[in-house]
Amino acid sequence: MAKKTTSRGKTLGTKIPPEQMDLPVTFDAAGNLVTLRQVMEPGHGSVLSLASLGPEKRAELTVKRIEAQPKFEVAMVGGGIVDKARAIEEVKAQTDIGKVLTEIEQRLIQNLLEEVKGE
Amino acid sequence: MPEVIERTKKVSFVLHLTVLGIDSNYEPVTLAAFQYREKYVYPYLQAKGFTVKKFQGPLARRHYVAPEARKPEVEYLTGVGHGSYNLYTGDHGDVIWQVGNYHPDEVKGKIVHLLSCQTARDLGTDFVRNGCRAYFGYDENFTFYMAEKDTFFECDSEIDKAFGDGLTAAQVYDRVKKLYD
Repeated sequence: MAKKTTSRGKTLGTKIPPEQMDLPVTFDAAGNLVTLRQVMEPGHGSVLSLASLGPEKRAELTVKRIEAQPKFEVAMVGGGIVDKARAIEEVKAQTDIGKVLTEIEQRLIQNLLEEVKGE
Repeated sequence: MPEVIERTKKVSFVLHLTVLGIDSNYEPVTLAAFQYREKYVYPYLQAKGFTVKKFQGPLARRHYVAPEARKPEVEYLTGVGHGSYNLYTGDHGDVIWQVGNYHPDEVKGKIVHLLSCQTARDLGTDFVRNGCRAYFGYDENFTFYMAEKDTFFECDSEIDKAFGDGLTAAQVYDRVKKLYD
């Protein structure tokens, strides 16, 4: 996914869009969702790395991220527009579209975490 | 035997390098890309000195595109449309190029960039086998968030802009890849 400053503004002087701050980016050791804002807090506890998440947890994380967004629309040149409800179903069912969406979210999270790390 | 005399003269031509823009816009996804390209891509190419001929909307059909593509002044073919591994479509699914179903002169000596799903796998390689100098496209579904569509289109259109800037295919690839990453 392209890493680029969005037109919706910046957060804390970074390239991170504000709406990303309260979206989950991983899980803690107890299996609770952890948002980007929590990861950025000083002294936050340990969280699971993306690489350590299995396919089911990645799909679960993707669903939670999509559910948390008031507006979610993804487009495919060939597949049309996938709205929020369909996106969630596709990810849960791990269809081809669902796998693509999961991969996109993983890349986005990775970029966000790298952005945070670079601060 | 009478001596054969050949009478000849040298003729030179000046051709204005031409870009063909072949854009679908009949549904929201291609419409969004079409609008971006209209605003940012074609003006850029024109500013770089290219003649731009557009086959958009109802004109994005093989009937209109194929004869133009064969013309020697056409240097670059670019467009947005639905596709699959072996074909690229225009208006309402009209098949513009399909593996095994086009004349090699439509791509021979030209550079092609199609914003479309999957075409790079089979159609793009077939183009190159038929003399296409370089093909830029995607071998999987081009997927993007509508809320951030211009970011994605900007990355894709960097291919067109880099070509307009006179870069080689390898240089175009490097510049675009850097932007995507």
